[in-house]
Amino acid sequence: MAAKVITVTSGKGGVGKTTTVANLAAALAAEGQRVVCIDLDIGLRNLDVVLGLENRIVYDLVHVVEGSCRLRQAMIKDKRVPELYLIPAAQTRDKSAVTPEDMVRVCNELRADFDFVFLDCPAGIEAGFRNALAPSDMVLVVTNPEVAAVRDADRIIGLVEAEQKGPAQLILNRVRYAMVERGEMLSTEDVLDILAIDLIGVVPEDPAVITAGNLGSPASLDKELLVGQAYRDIAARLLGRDVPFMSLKPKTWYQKLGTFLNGGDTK
Amino acid sequence: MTSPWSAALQLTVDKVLGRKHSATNAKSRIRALLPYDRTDLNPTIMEKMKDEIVAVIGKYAAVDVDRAAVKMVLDHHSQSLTAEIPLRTVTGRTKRPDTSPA
Ligand SMILES: Nc1ncnc2c1ncn2[C@@H]1O[C@H](COP(=O)(O)OP(=O)(O)O)[C@@H](O)[C@H]1O
Ligand SMILES: [Mg+2]
Repeated sequence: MAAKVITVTSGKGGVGKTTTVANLAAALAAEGQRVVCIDLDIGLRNLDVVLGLENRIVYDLVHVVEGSCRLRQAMIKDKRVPELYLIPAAQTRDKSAVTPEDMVRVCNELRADFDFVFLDCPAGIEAGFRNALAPSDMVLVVTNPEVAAVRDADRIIGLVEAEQKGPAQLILNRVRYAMVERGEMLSTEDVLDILAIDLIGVVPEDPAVITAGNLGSPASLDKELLVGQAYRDIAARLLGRDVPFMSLKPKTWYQKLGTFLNGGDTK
Repeated sequence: MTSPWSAALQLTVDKVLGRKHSATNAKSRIRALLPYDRTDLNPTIMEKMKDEIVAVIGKYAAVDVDRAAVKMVLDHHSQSLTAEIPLRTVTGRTKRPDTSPA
């Protein structure tokens, strides 16, 4: 079976692309899928630390495209799950070191041996975005329920369509249930109404994402976390399963008490 | 903590205090700016376009310039321009005749 190449992009920086790639890749690998993720943020690499693999980097993507190492040598294996690999970005080079043609070649080489290839896109709509789009089979646009993020998502969706890589699918990240209820944050419906694309996931704002980042261990590997479940649900949808959208409503204290008395998890 | 109760209470309190919900603001701001982003137009160009349209129509009919407007209409992934160009009638009336008794 040939791998599906999934580009994760947003336009705006800091909305959760890298977090999304790490969590989806880990969730799929935990399900036995063979997964590679590639950090395309040349000069500003991040995915290595989010996955906790920063200490094992020898070669990077630029070494691969320049032919100074074999593809396999640049693939760092994650030891927590069966088949998860990272190809890190070069830290001391600039984006022109990799071309869209290079990315098509690298991804084609990976297709035969893997199920999913994730491309973690840098912010912006320039070279890095073009590199991430060229080999793409599917585009996931990550945004937050905020004016600037939604505006940039709209622009990216248009560019993806113009390159005939669409239709993109949406991940709405950092949703705060209580704020939406109070009318102080755009709801999922508001954002979908504006962007008019298909939704593949809604991820709540959760401090657990930050603690997971501290540990270098994606939240999706923690079965107890609501935010982890949000990512596992998206992973399941990528596997073609029909998973209903979960409620982001936090449990009330009496629900927590009930669960606690039954010996369950209270998060 | 949010229960349907506390959310409803909050909404009522906000209503009583006349507080605006900023999400509504966010949505209308995005809807207002996206057509410009998508088409590379801006309010200045729109104004210029309106003046030119008014000038063209003005060659054939008397335009009520002050009420002429060219607007962006956003509809999901397509947007269009609508121009509303009110005309002065030959009898000099710009509005419907006032029917209320003097
Ligand atoms: N759902 C979430 N809840 C809380 N924090 C989040 C969430 N998603 C992302 N973050 C935090 O936001 C920051 C930016 O995320 P990152 O994935 O690096 O964004 P990007 O790759 O788009 O620049 C990080 O510090 C990350 O921990
Ligand atoms: Mg990033």
